Amino acid sequence: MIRTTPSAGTTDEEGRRLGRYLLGAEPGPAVLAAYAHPRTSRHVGAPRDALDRALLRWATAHPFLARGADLYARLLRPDALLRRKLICLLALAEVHGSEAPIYSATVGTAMWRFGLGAAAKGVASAVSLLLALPVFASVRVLQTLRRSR
Amino acid sequence: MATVTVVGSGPSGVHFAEALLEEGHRVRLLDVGSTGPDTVEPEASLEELKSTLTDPAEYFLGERLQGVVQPDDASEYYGLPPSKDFVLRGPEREPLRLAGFAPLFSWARGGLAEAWTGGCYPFNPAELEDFPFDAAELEPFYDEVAAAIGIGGGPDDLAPFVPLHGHLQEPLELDAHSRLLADRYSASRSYLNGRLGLHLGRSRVAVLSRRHGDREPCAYLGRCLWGCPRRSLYTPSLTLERLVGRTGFEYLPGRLVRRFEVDADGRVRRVVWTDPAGQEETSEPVEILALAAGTLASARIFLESWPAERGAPPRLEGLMDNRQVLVPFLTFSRIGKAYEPDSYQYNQLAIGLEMPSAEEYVHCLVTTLKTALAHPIIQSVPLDLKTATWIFRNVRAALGLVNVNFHDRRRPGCYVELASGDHGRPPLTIEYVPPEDEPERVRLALRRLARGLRRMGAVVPPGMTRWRPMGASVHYAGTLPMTRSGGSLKTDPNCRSRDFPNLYVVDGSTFPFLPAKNLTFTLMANARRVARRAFAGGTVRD
Repeated sequence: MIRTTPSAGTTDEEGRRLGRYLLGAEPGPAVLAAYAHPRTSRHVGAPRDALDRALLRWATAHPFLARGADLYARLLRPDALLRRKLICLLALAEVHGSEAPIYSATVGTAMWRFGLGAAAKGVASAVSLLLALPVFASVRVLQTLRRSR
Repeated sequence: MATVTVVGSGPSGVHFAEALLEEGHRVRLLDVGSTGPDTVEPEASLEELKSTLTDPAEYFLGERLQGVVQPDDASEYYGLPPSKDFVLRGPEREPLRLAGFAPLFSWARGGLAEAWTGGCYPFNPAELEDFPFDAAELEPFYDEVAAAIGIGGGPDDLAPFVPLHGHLQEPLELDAHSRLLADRYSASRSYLNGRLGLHLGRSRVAVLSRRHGDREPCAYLGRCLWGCPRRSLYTPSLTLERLVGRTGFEYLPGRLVRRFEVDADGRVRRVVWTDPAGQEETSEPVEILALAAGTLASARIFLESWPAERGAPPRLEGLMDNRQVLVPFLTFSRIGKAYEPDSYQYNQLAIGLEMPSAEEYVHCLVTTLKTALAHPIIQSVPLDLKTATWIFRNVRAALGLVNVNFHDRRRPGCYVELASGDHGRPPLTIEYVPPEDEPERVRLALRRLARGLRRMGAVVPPGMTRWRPMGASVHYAGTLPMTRSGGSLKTDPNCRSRDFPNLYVVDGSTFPFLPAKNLTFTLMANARRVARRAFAGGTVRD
């Protein structure tokens, strides 16, 4: 489903910040231009509520924080605007040749290296989620209270 | 010599038309005939395109980024890429009432097969037992189709289930992952065959491994899903292209056939069509009419044509479709390897699961992941995207997907009929009820498959197997079945309607049984068979 309501915009700066998290580096100019293109804003849509806005603000503050927000959204609000933007950025990066190394690099064929890497990533994800949980849980509670008034 | 009006330019329609021309008849082919975008940079590989296109996002993801798979999209791993949107884009919204079925329609030049993966698996004698002719009668037409379109394959362990035929080209080179699976299968053959009834062989696909007429062989560009730029992968529009301009053939696009009109004797006299926008009806005389619009579209035309004096339009029972289950797998020894972007993208291996009765054979297409877009898979993993991407890039060369297909039979409760509408076109009601034993049959087959994959060094990740909704396979059949003897709402062994003497139905509507294989090859062969048998030598056989 493509949302047609324009968002506050998918900007260059936002693309850089989310790209630092997602791709480990700022995306190239072609990807940033594609991300900032109006069709991207139209595709991802607008924030629905305070939680959507909070997730986005948290994620654009720092790459480490973005991981927690991303994982929170994946598990508890899979259609969050943050997820839609990240998936879009991922898709744009993979169809631009300049980003090819990000997809084709490997850790080599030693399983132990893969296992170690996966474990390290898992720990990082868990820690960032633990940091994010109380923040977004609070946002949800406040949101619910406001709605019930 | 007769003038035969054919409706539809899919695999049945174009092969029927070509054979009719060769038998000395004239053919008028009515079609909506939507077309897609022009081919870009035909010699560039998929990876090269990402660097050379001015706007790769538009090409790969669409002008509205509709090719980006978001979490709230349908539960397919992949949809059609934007370049193939035209295959499913219709002239108007078909009014439908659906229960248990999610159909797809196409008004494209070439039909739904313009987006197919090329599988060409002939039916064996057991699978043809319900058909009102011997298997031997269809055999020469499999050869004829293979000679016309080019099919790769050869003798292997699938031959007992998928008969060999003439004009097979050498199969394409295997990618490294497929080669590994094939080697492991060979090493464990006796266990896999004997204990699990699992047989592996090369996919039979309509892809050229050597030049065929003016079509070039596959150059492993990895662009299959977006449309083969070299015409190495056969699509029916290639046959249509060959027919246009031939003496005796008239291609008439922009015509959406609604119904036909009959006289007091039940003979079809006129066909009524509108423009694709559904406005302005036009009617024209016909001598002989052949429906090749696909099972559901042909059903609608047939039902909307039912003469009022015969009562309300009937219910067409016996709709069939193949259940498909998608089973992702991971081959451990491929983790960390580089993936091969310059490769044939679709399945190169097939697995057959032997069943107690031949009709229950289960057919599986094994696709190793190569150049397909990564984000649909990455976003479906229950992890943050950074971790999921890291894992994906290291397991990409180890991933694959098995598309498991199950047979279907004509059964009560699976039908197509016209609902009574308040105004305008009556909705087409499509109802489908799966067989009661389906969950158990599927479970047992998937268990054997998983065990077989484990033996070949691959595992099926828990929770990621997906049942596709009925209708997704687009292997529709059975609503006007061929029979040896009479009966309304049936067709004779030459696919002639038993209700309207000069009406033929040459698409899957007439199939009385649907095995687990892709039926497209048999559609093409049967269409040629009907043309050669019923219209031989410029005459029309009664």
